[in-house]
Amino acid sequence: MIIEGKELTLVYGIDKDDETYALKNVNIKLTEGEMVGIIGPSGSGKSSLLYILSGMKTPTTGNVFYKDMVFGSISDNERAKIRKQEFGFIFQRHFLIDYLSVIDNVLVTSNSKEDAMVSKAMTILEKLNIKQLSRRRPYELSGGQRQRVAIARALINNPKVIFADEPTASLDHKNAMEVMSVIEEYKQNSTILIVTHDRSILQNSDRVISVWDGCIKEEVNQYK
Amino acid sequence: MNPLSIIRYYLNNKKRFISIVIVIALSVLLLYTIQMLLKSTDHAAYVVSVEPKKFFSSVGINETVLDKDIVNDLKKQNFAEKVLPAAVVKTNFTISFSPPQGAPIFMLKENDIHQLMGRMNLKLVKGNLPKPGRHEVIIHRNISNNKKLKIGDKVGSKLDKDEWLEGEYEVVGIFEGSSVLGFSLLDDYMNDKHIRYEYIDAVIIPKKNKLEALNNYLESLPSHDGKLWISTYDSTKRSLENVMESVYMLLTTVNIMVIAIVSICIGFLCYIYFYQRRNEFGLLNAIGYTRQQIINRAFAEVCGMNIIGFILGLILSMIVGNLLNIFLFAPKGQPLQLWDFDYITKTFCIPLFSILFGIIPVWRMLKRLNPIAIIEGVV
Ligand SMILES: Nc1ncnc2c1ncn2[C@@H]1O[C@H](COP(=O)(O)OP(=O)(O)O)[C@@H](O)[C@H]1O
Ligand SMILES: [Mg+2]
Repeated sequence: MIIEGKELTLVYGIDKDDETYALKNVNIKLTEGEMVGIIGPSGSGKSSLLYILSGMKTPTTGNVFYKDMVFGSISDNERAKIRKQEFGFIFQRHFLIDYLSVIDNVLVTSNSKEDAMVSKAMTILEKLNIKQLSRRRPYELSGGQRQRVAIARALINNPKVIFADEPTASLDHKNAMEVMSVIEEYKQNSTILIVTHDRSILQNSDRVISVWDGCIKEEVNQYK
Repeated sequence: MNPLSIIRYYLNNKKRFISIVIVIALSVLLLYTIQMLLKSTDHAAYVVSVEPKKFFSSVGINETVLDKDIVNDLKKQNFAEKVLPAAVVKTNFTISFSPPQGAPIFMLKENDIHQLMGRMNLKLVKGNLPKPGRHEVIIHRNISNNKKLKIGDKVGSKLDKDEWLEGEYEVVGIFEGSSVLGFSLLDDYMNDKHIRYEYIDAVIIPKKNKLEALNNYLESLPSHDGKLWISTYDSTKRSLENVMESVYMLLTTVNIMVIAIVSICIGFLCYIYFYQRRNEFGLLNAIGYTRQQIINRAFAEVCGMNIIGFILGLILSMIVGNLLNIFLFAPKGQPLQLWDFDYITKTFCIPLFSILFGIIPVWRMLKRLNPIAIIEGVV
């Protein structure tokens, strides 16, 4: 087991008398090398769960355990360091830095242009079929190409855990499937958490967890 | 070059970089030039009035010849090396940005001129010393430039009724040195005025390192009903400072206004530029850069642009200063003071306050940075 959320509850607007329970007493465990899909309608609490498990957000109650660490008892900066060194992030929007070239965007996480890093980035770009675009700026790319660059950025540091929040939402079906197959390639070395409302991209995931109104339920993967 | 290095940012955002650098550089240039013009005006007045008093002091009694007792007493004091009979008149000397000034012409005995010039390190570069009975004058190069006088030219109220120098004198020599003044012969002057007595005023040359003791003594002399005038280093410096005080006050106001306007503009520009980049900062925070790292990078970017702008501004100032000097001020006998530590401290306020006004709003924005809100697209 690499990451575990225990009795996670997240309440928004606690001080405003307008309480929304985004998560209600959620328990979730991820083991090394598995790919887990989280599915549920919009507003069900999927993103909230991802932000909490990745240490970007602190739950109202409950705690997250990563390796031998407890997120609740380490500092913001230490959590940031874990995100930078051990996690990879893919969001619905690409969040590429518009004034940097594709290759520089991929290398933003390590902020290094050592030869080894550059050639590693080029290998990933090649797998994603966008190697020839490495010198271009984001505005010169199509939507699908941009999202691939964002994926390359998430993969560059060999992350232990990849967090992907609706990574294919801005892509057409064909592009979405291509992108998913690249992410799936990292399954041996990384734990992958994919949040989506599109069941079809979870074909190859080991488990699917469905979220409904802040509560989770393990599903049988119908594709397996 | 690393993707997040500030140079990479500058290179990939040339317009933004240049706009801030140019604003800083031009305002440094403006402030530097204003300081330089005023300081040079001050200096031009300083070299005609205060600078000579580093070498001697003078004393006189208004409208009459100098009291014999005073002269004898002066001679007895062991800090006076020489007491020279003298008369001081003035010739008009125009200084830009300043009320009309006069440069002094010291009327001395023939031998005394030579001796005093030696003391003051004044070097005759053209012509010769004045000879008796001919109404001749020698002047500093700045005066000759200022009044467009060459050797052989005549100057005086007989030729030009606006001229302060009474009578008519021929320029026979031009000299150089730190003090700006002129010399002519006392005997000619006394003959013209029908003055018989030996001393009308006195120029007192102190013994080595005794100027201060001499001046203290002079200041302590009885005032003779206010008719005794004493001109020492301190008294001339004080009166120049009085004249310049209001000018410097105006200068300070201008400085503060320029600095305030520029730093507020830079503050706005920085805020706009950084606000437009909040997606970048949100992403960086989400993928593991700490707020502090992001703030430090923003700080380095703002500082870098300001310092580059400042240095560029100084270079421009030197170029503009030299051009103004060569084409405008040196030919008027009022060479600019191109360099002064004061210019640097004043102009440095521009990058200093721009950094402050640039970084504070950005710092506040980044301090409250909410990466989740940015990722969810709610801001
Ligand atoms: N900043 C917020 N303030 C108040 N309520 C929020 C905030 N963010 C999310 N919520 C609420 O929490 C619930 C879960 O949101 P989210 O985790 O984003 O759902 P999902 O990602 O499944 O669409 C929703 O009801 C949403 O309205
Ligand atoms: Mg969501």
